Amino acid sequence: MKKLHDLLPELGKILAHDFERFEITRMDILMDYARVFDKLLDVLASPYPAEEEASKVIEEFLTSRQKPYGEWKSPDWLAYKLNQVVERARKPKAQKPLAEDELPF
Amino acid sequence: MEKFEDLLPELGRIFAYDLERFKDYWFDVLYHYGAAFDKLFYIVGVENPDLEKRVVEVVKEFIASRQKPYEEWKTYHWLSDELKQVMGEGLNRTYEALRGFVSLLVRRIAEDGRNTGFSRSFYDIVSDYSLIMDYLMAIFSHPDIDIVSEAEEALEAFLQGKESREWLKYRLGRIVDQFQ
Repeated sequence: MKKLHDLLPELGKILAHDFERFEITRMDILMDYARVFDKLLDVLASPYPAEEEASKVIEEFLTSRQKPYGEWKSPDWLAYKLNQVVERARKPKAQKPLAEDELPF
Repeated sequence: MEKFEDLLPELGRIFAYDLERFKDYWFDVLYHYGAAFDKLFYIVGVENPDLEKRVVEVVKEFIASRQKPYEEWKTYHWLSDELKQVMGEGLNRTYEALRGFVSLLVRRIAEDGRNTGFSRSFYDIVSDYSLIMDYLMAIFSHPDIDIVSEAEEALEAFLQGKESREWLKYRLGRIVDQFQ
């Protein structure tokens, strides 16, 4: 599987393409991609490993862009999915329940 | 004047180019363009023509430099720094306008706190002022002079005793709702 940073140049090209093609909604596109990059930085700063999952999401986004227009994923979708990755990574991992004599009260 | 949106495709192309060319510095590229996009969205979102004009100038200068020889290129660090500057210019005006009120407001909070016992009304005071301060924080970080003057008027009315604390809370809440 490709590393997150190997996917960035392709993502940049799609951003440039979207700005070009969707003239009327350029501000929305700017907002969506700004969120995408914020989330990517969150992924990289996350204390729990999240890069692999984020790469999968980006790959899914990039692959969809090679399909017919009806199947394209939007940058809004990408930001939403990356946010889920970040949220999941933030949650402490499940622990085994404490035994009776280990309870703090 | 050229519209800001019209510059986005070219900016997008340069971003894509930088990601490709400076592959080894991908984090730096991502970080600074990410910051630049955030600031662009923020500044343009407040719909202040003066600030938008400045943004257009900055982005145009950046794009124009990229058509010159490499030595004369502006970097994405430059872009992000300049936009921070523009945002700061907007925010400075906000600080300037509201700064004087804050010390008066804090004095008023102290007085109100002294004049009540530890009771329900004390709780109300703390909770109201906490909300008022939250709203002021939001307004402080917003570079829009119209909204700031509305907040100024509200604070003035309250501090002169013309309006109540509840009214101020409500009024500032409404102002914040306009942009949040």
